[in-house]
Amino acid sequence: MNTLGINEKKTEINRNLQSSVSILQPYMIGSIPIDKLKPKKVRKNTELTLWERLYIPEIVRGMVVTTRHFIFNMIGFVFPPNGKKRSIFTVYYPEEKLTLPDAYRGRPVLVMREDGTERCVACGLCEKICPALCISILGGERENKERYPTYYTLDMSLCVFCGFCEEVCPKEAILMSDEYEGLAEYDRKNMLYPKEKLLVSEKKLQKRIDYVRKIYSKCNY
Amino acid sequence: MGKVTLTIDGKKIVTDSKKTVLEAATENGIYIPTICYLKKLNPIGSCRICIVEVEGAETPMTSCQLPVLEGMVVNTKSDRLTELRQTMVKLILVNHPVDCPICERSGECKLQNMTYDLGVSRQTLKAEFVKREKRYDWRLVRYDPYLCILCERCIRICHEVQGFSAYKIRQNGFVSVIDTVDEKPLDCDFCGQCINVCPVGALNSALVLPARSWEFNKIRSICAYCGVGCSFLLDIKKDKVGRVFTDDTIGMNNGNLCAKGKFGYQFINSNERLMTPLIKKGDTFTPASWDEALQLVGDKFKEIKTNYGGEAIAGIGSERIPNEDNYLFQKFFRCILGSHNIDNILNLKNSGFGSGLLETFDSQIINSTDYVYASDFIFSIGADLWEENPVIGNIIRMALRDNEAYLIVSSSRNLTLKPPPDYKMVYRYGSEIQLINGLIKIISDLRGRTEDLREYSDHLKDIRLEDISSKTGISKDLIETVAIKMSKSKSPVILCGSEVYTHPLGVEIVRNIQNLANLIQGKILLFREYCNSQGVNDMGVLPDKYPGYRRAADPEVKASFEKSWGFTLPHKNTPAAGMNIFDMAVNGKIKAIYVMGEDITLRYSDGNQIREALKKIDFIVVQDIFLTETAKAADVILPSVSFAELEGTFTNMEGRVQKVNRGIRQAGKSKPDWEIIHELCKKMGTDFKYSAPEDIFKEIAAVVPAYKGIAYSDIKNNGKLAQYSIPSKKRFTFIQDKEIDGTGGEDMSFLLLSGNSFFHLGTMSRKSEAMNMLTPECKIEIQTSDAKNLKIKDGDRVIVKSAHGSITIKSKITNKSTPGIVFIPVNFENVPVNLLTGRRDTVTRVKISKID
Ligand code: SF4
Ligand code: SF4
Ligand code: SF4
Ligand code: SF4
Ligand code: SF4
Ligand code: FES
Repeated sequence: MNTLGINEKKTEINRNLQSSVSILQPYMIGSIPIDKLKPKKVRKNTELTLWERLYIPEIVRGMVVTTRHFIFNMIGFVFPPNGKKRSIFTVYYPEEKLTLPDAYRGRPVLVMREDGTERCVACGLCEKICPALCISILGGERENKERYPTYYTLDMSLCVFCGFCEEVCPKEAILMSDEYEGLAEYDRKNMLYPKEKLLVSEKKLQKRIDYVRKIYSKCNY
Repeated sequence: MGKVTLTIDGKKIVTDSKKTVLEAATENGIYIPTICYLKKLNPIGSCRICIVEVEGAETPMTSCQLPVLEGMVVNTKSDRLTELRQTMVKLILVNHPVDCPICERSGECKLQNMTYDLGVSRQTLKAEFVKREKRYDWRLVRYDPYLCILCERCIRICHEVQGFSAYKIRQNGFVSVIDTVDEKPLDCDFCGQCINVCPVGALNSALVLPARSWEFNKIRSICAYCGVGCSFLLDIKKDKVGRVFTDDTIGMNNGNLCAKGKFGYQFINSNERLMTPLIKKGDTFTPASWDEALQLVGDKFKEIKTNYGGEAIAGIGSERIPNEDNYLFQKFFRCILGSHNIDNILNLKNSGFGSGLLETFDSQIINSTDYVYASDFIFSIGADLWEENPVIGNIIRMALRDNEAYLIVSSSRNLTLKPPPDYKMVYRYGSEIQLINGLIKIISDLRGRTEDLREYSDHLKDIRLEDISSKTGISKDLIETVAIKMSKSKSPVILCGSEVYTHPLGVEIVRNIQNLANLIQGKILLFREYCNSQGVNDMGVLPDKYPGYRRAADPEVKASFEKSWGFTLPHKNTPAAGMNIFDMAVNGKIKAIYVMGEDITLRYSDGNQIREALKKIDFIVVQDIFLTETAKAADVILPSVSFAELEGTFTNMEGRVQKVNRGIRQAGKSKPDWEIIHELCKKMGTDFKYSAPEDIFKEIAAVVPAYKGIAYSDIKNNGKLAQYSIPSKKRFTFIQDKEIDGTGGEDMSFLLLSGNSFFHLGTMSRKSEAMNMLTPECKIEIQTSDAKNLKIKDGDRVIVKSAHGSITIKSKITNKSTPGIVFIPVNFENVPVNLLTGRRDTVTRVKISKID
């Protein structure tokens, strides 16, 4: 938990600026500099062979695959192998759920510090970068002169889960959580998430924070 | 001014010899980066970003300070210069925390832009961290020394333009910071100029910015407070005004603003705003729909018109509502209700400056402030120069700086002006005409009598300077010195302030000033209290004048308006002399009144009469943005909009027609005034078929001679000056001095003056928290020696009693008042000063006693 007051934070940022130039180094993804990444070759459509053009044999081949899957599935369903319930071939959602990879981007949430306040300083960068224009912020100031969003809404009916907001945030204040459930609504109005609905405690998000630090190599917190 | 030829970046440039290299380059489209340079300030060369190479000189020089010379060869771009400029930026940044995410100026910060422009992407320098103290105790201004780049723009603007000289640099070298001169918390004019010009986020408004600079929608508009009509930018997000900002040089105000303009915007988004029409049922107001409310008003008006005639319905127009709305208001009254009983408060107080504008005076008193910018001699009379119309003060200071102009201030109050004027004349209230006669005598003696002065000179013979000196209380020497300076001046201007236009003898004083102005070939500028005080009169919200000051009693004028409007217009009956709407109301002649955007209960000079009048009137309709004192007495309240929610034009004290642009959605169900009147007309069976203010303005331009030729779409940026034509009349008319009547008993020894306090104007600013913070309560200003005699201490509560009434009020001991004069601000609804005063043709004497 980052308990630094705003003044100390600033001095820290200041020190960072003076002592390290890492933020100014070439942009990295993980530990690979961006210019080292090469795009893979894309397979183009090729001419069909005569055998393929005959059509019937290919249909038969396809049916064989389908039938094989069907039979295996049926046997697996009726007589599940040892130690498993019955789910060898698919995940039985919603009874069962996937373990999501760290990189999974669920709904964006705001990080809530232990004292219940938001980390966000209302810098408006996420609002600016959001390609779907779904974020809307009004800033204010706490008693201790710390800036915070008095109003923060995120329109979940617009969000495209691109994660740009997370990437741009200088304060690790908005993160892509692993939540993907309960986002559907019957009324669009309910999809306009106010600040209260967006706040999620820091503890719950610790894994994502670690991941984000790694992936975006952010250093100045 | 001579011309010189020089070469900049290989381009031959011919320019004035007084220019700097930077100015010459900018004019010719050559870009030189700058940080500390500001067009309206003297350059000091602190940032050194603007360096250029001059052929023949070893080291680069700062172009903002470098005067052009004949044959100079200047180079603005080279690798060496770029490298040096980059180093400058790095040097500034070495101490500058990159707090951009929370800095209010991020996105419009000069330093940020310069860092980016110059491609500084790496800091190679290091510095020791110095602990500094952020200032949060400067009331409306905040200072963050970590962000300050010591460009001294704030010091310079406060010194050169605002004249307050609040700041200095404390300590030297690496640890220096900006501080107030006395190192105490800032207590200044709070004009916010320093905040506007700070290139970085070091100076900020204490009204926290709700959004980042790039999120704002910037709407250019006109300040809706005083008569100067400053242009500014309303920064809007989510239908809320986040701040008011200006640019270096926009508008006739040159980017300058005062505290009201800069910080007084909070009333726009106040939650006290009226949101729906209200109808009085019993003792309470119940919300109603527009349809219901307007139907009620329409039916009532119709009923009264059939029973008592149209003249039984009166209307009050507003000095802070655009021309279009006022125009439609009077048209509605004249065409549909058939009533000439419309008026505005300015005209009610002193019709000489309202409906009589073109008739009473022999020459034009509405003139452009350009004359002030260009003048070398400024004489003000009865104006609290720095406080009344504050930005005029800024214009004067700039003229003092640039033209080395003389400033002479005369007033009945002992004003403390910063910087002090060259001469200050404190005269006795009521002796203004004498003073001017004295000046005229000396100047005409000096110049010799000209032909047109002949008739005048008989009167001048009788004038003895000794008498004048004893009557005005100003020494003979001082009057003489001022007169001599005045007679030598080349382009003098004379400013008439509120003391003149609220004076019982105001018209005579101004006519006498005209004599003086004609003698010295000067220009007169009359101050106006509100943003559209001029426009409301131009629009003919007057009982005796059609739009354009055309006589209502003249059958020809009537016929011409009938032709252009297509309605039969009522005949103008000459009312009994001196009868105004409220007199008629007290006499029971007015059955209904329609008050648009004016708090008449507090603003009309005779507080007792207006309250009585409102009691007598059966049906009161008030159209306003707040539940004002007047609205509380209404039968129907119609919610209208603030200046940020409407479109239209204001005409300022110079007669400059300027455009107000709409920035935000109307609050609740409120509507612009013209739309309300338009709907009401429809309810009463007439459709004027206007679809936008532009349509109305087209009509105004057609019927008001002064606005002829102004096209709505052409009113941009600095607006358009209305051309008032005054039939040429006598140049000199001798004005006899008169005694002014006073009301008040034997024991009432103090003369009461009232006006606006510095941080308030009318009662609108009372809905802005920031303004209330600066001046939270009403205090009577008493002179120190008077206070001593009455044994009153600062802050004591006193009873002020006049022949008309009495009020209780806190006292403030000051040397601004002269002995025998007390001053009470009019802005506070809990202290209605007009209960003490009567009609405007008298002065009020009061008795002051302390409450034990
Ligand atoms: S994930 Fe993308 S679309 Fe969604 S809020 Fe963030 S930036 Fe906007
Ligand atoms: S980018 Fe981060 S700190 Fe900035 S407004 Fe968005 S959530 Fe808040
Ligand atoms: S406070 Fe702003 S304007 Fe004043 S010296 Fe510092 S940076 Fe310049
Ligand atoms: S607010 Fe105005 S008067 Fe006050 S310090 Fe700034 S410039 Fe000077
Ligand atoms: S001088 Fe008058 S018009 Fe200008 S900002 Fe101040 S109140 Fe507004
Ligand atoms: S702009 Fe010339 S020195 Fe700063």
